[in-house]
Amino acid sequence: MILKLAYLNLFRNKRRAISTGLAICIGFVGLNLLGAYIYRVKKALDTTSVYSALHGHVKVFKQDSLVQFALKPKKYIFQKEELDQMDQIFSEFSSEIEYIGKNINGSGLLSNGKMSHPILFYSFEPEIYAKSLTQPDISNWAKDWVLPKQIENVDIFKNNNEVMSVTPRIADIMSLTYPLNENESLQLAGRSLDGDLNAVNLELGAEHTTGLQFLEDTLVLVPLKKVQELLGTEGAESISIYLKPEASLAKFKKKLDEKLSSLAFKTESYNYYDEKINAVYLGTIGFLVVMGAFFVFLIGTAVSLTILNSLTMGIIERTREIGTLYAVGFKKKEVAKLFILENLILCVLSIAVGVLLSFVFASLVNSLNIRFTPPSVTGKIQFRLVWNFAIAASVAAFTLILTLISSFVVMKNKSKIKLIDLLNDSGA
Amino acid sequence: MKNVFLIGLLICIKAFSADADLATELLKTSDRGRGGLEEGLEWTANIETTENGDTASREFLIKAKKHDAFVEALKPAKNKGEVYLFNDRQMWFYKPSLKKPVSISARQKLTGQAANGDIASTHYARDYNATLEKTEEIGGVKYYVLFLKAKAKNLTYDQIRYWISDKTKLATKVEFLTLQGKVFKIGTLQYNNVLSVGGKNIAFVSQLTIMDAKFNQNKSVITYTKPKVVEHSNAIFNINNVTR
Amino acid sequence: MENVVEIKNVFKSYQLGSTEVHALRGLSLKIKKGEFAALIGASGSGKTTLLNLVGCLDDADRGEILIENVSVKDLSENQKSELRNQKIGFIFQSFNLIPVLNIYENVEIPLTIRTEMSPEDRKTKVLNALKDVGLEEYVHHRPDQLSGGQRQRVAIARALVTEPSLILADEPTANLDSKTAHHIIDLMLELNKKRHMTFFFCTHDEKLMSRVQRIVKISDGVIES
Repeated sequence: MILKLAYLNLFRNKRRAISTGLAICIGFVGLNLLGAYIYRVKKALDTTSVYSALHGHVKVFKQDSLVQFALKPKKYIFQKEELDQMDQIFSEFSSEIEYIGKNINGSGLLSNGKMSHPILFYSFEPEIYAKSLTQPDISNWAKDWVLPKQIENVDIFKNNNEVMSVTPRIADIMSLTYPLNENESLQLAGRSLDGDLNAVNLELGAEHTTGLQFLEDTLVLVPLKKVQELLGTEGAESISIYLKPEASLAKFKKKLDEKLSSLAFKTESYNYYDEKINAVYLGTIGFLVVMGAFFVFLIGTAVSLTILNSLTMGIIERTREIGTLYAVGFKKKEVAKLFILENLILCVLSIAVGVLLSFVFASLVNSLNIRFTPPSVTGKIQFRLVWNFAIAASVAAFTLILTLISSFVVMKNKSKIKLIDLLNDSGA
Repeated sequence: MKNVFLIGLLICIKAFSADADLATELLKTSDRGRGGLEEGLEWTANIETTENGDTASREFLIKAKKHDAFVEALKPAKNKGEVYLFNDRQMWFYKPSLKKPVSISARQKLTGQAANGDIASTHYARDYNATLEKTEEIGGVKYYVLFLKAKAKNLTYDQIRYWISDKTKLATKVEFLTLQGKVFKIGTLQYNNVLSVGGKNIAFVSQLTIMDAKFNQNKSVITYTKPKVVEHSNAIFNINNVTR
Repeated sequence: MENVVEIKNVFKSYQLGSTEVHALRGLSLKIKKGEFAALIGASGSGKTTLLNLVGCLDDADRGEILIENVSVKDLSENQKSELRNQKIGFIFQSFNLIPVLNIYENVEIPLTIRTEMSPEDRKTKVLNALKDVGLEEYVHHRPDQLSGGQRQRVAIARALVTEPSLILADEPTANLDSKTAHHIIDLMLELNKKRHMTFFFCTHDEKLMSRVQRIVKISDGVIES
């Protein structure tokens, strides 16, 4: 009965109900689409961090390697026998681990026989690169952040294990002509684990993008075997562990850390989003969270004020009715329940419309293929809004809570009015 | 009065220019003791490096002529055949397995505290502008302390403080400074080698010790042996011939 | 006979702008069970104030009011609400019906908060109340589809649906024509007899006086007779 009364009350002042509903609806759509955008960027960052950047879900280093490897690579590299011992441990997690990759990152000079350009090199193993770049998540979330050519690299790397990958910017700096594989070889110079200058030959033919402007003129991808040759080692600086979709990252990492602690040498592992190995991830997510929080605040305030205003007006108009309800025995909380219920119904109806609208809007935006260049990112990416049930549900819950709080605040204030004053009110 | 002022000014300019001339002259002379000669030279350099408790040994054969140098690694065996080629201020690294030489920088680390540029002959008079900073007396010997500023960006060091003995006209101490003027490496030199040039014996560097200015246990000692004047063909300094 | 209402030396004043109006000045009164009592008096004599205090819609400054021997002075707001719901029915001058609800729902309103009551019981009581006021055929009508008299009947049905021991009515016929007013008074009298409900109402209508069992006259905040 109270529910029915609450529902029917919505039709008393249709214009106000519609304008309030519209404010809630627009607020919901705004938050939902903002959430959809942040969700999309986060998923793209997750995917590129794990697969494109070859971090894996968990990356294992020797303890203190992050700081010390560049200074004392010989001490902090995993030697062949240490890698074998770790493989034993990894084999116990076969139900969770999809595949494992090894990495060595470092700095050096890339030379074309005429000039040299200082670079950072990231190693890759062709088969791991192939597996990573053909993951469904890459095509679902990070299509824009991976050059179409990078997918073609999969075959290039498989066919020739001396082929390295350069960015378009480095190709430009070093006056490399296209097609890249028609260039003569390049040489990668760097310091071996013994501290000697060394250099290896590399073939051109593959191209990638880092997705980040500040790395675009710096980062090259080099087959692990060639990096090992350069450094004079069979070891690896780190191990990237790629998990199966059903595996729980937190649980896996905890168990893995326990097992790794039994080794004679000390290790440390990091999640792919850890600031220490992936500062860009945290920086970008941090920016998005701050931006998101700002918009949530703005939209939340607007929606709250609308509800507060609408509810206050509704109460002013129905003061005598409230008095009558008290007179026939309604308690304050029952009257409050009626009004709150009224707003919740309006909110639920608005959200229902909002769900539909946000879905339509997201589809429209996506079909328009709007492209933009985010700060510090190289190249244009599509402004994509990925509608997600969890986000919509969270935003709906947030909107409902906001409505509930706003309604509660008004009712709390209005319940202070004396009953006799309510009944004597002539109505607004 | 006006004339007195002009004469004073001229005397000052003259004194300054005389100092600069002296500094350049001292530098030219001291370079000779470190291979800065017109004649073709050859010597062996052994570098003993101690760094963070680890020690390593390298040996190079250096063939130098004027501003070119061909440096070939002799030891350890795994590095044998590696070549560092200095063409004036351009520097290359090459080893037989490479398809093309690698252009490298003189200021990059060769081993330990020694930079690539430290291994070849020294041409500070050509590469640096020298000013006489002060004179000092050490052990009863007068030393000219020169301050050297790099003429070009691709030189081994940006700034150098250089102690040249008035008695021998040879440098015995050197401080290597960053662009900001901070000393980051300190070197000491000895001249126990004798080189016969055109019938005249001149002192030639026998040891250069380079220490990290902060951690002096990290050091490289370059020992120079068997210096001699040798007639080199220009062809050995041609990078295209090296890679063939 | 048992007292439904007992008012002991009640004072009530309120502010009207800068003036303090003494509406009740030590008023005492007893209303017995089953009485049909009209409260009369000039405008501003304190009729409505007294009715509001008896109905627990307002609090006295001093003195004591007992409803079925329970002092309302020390009751909490919630206890007063319960008391109103269970023991008092209200009939307002301007009916105070809820426009969006139909007649049935308007009458049902006081019962909706009685969680212990089954829906069947509720329905029976609502239909009986509507039958008592002769509106059983109008259950689906909305208040704006009814005449003034019919609306007041709905208000009466709403007041009696909880089977209270006391029905308070503030000028129940003031907004009605005289013929309709007669019918409403007839109905109230009929319910008074049939259901043994106590009626205490204030009125200006001189023509009604003859039909009332007891007339309580109030003047300057005290009972005159």
